[in-house]
Order: sequence, then structure tokens, then C-alpha cells
Amino acid sequence: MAGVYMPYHLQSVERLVVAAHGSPRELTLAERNILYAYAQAAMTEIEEGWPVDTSTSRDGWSFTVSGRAGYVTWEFENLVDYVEWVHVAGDDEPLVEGYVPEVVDAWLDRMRPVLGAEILATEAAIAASKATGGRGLLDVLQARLSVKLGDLVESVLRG
Amino acid sequence: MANDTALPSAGRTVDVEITTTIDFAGIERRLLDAERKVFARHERKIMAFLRDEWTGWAYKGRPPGAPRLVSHDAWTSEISTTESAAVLRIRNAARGYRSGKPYVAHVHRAGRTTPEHEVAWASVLATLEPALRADLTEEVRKSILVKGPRKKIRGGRSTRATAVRLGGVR
Repeated sequence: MAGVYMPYHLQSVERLVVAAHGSPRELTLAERNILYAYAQAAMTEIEEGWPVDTSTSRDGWSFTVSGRAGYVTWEFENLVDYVEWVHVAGDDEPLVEGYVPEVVDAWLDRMRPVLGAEILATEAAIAASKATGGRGLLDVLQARLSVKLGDLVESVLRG
Repeated sequence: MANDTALPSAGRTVDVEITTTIDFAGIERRLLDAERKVFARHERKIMAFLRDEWTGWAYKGRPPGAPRLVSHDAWTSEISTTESAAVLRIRNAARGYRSGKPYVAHVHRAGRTTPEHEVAWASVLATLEPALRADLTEEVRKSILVKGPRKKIRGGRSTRATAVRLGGVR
């Protein structure tokens, strides 16, 4: 396949979940939105630092996130067939081997404490639900969000 | 309360792809960085809106431990800025957690028959897409005023939402 596919299996997040919950579980909507907002921020920085000639390879970036139990991931993808050779003038290192992983790692480091705090908040909500005879995680999974994803993304991008 | 449903017609397995095009006939160049940033900002808003809308499913009959929010996580987007047009392509290629097959084009709310991606995209067209078109047109107009002689901008648009069969656009 031409292009690059960069999956990040976020085992550090899964370990946070297991440590707090006692076993793997789905991420809630609020947790998934944090996952998404920071992935979006990483991709925005990648695109803004990408050298542009025709803009085809810069525009080829996309991403997905997963918050499933035991499968918490970021996946970045660019299927432009020469993207693995794109580099900046004066530096032969392909961006997908240096710049892109560095940007992703930096945003991962920024995300972990925020997501960790949300995971602890979720566990507190699960405990509160169970204490009042609720369904615990199922109730929390269906709870309405207090922050819209668009606002969260803009807030993360603004730092 | 709504739920995602089984495929209404067995054997029809489809993804969702939505393409919206902002056409700038007469400009005949790719978007400048400042213009692309405007486009990307609206792309983020539209994707966030779709994900926020794609919630509230009841999962009737789904066991407590089975995956949820599978199609919610599967929204992805790309923008392309070719000569004379800016294109936003949104896709959802979620696979059923049991069947491994695509199903998103058939998802609808309980009590309705209209596929939910059509409902959500109609909301985008009514609330977010006009602002995208206006802001992008304005940004292009500003760059023309700065960089060269005035040209007439035709800020036309086309948009389509399609259900794509497997092996389709990729």
C-alpha cells in the first residue's frame, strides 16, 4: 500500500483504566472526546508544519480514534503515494520518521494527565451511580456531556 | 430514546461518504495557507458536531460488555484544496462488532426511517456549512484584494452524501 498508516496503541491509557477500574472498560464519551481533541491537535500541528508544494501530501492526512475496551488507539493515515519521502529542504530525514512521531509523542504527553484525571472522574461517577442503585458504567456511558467537542478541540488547540 | 438498528435489508452493506465542494471558479489556484486554516477550522467544527450528534443510542439487545460507540469513533475527514475548488470529504467506515461488516449507512433512530447520517448532514448544511462558505469566500476575497487585481468570485457549492459500497472510494 502506498502512503503511511501510523497506528498508536495507547497501552499507557489502557493501564490507567485498569488501575482505576480494576479491569479494561470502554472509554466514556467525555474520555473519547479528550482522545479525539488531542489527536486533532497533533494532526493540525503536523499539517501546519508540513512543507507545501502542491499541498497534496499535506491534505492527505486523516485520523481516527478508538475508545474500545483493550483497544484504545490513535490512527494517523496519509495515503498519498510519495508521502513517506517528503522532507524539508536541507534535511533528508523523511518527516514521517522524525517530525510526525515527535509531534504525536508531544501531544500524547500533554493528553495523558488530562485523560487520567477524566478516567478518575469517571470512576467516581460509576461508584456514585452504583451507590444509588444505578447501573454504574452503563449509566455513565449514556450521560450527557457538559462540554461540546468543538469547544474542547478549540481549547486544546489554544493551549 | 433512540437506538441503532439491524440492517433493514439483508445483504446491503455500506459505508457513508459525504463530499461537499466549495467552488471558486475564476480563482484557479489552490487555497493559500490562511484560507486553508479557515477551511480546516470549519472542518473541525463540522466533525465535532457530527460526533456530538452521533450519540444517545440505546443499544437495544446489545449485551452490557459489548462495544459501544463503534461508529461514533469511526468518523474521519480530509480536506483537499485543488485548483478552483476546496473539497471536504467525510467518511464513516465502521464495522459491526460481531459481523465485521459495514453498516453505518443504515443506522437510524428508533421510530424513524431516515438514515441518521442524512439527518445529521442536513443539520450541518442548515447550521454550519453556510458559515464555512461565507468565511472562506471572505478570506479568498481578502487575499485577492492584497495580492492582485480584483476578480469576481463565484462562491458556488455542491454537496452530496452517498452510501458507498465496499471497494468504493478509498
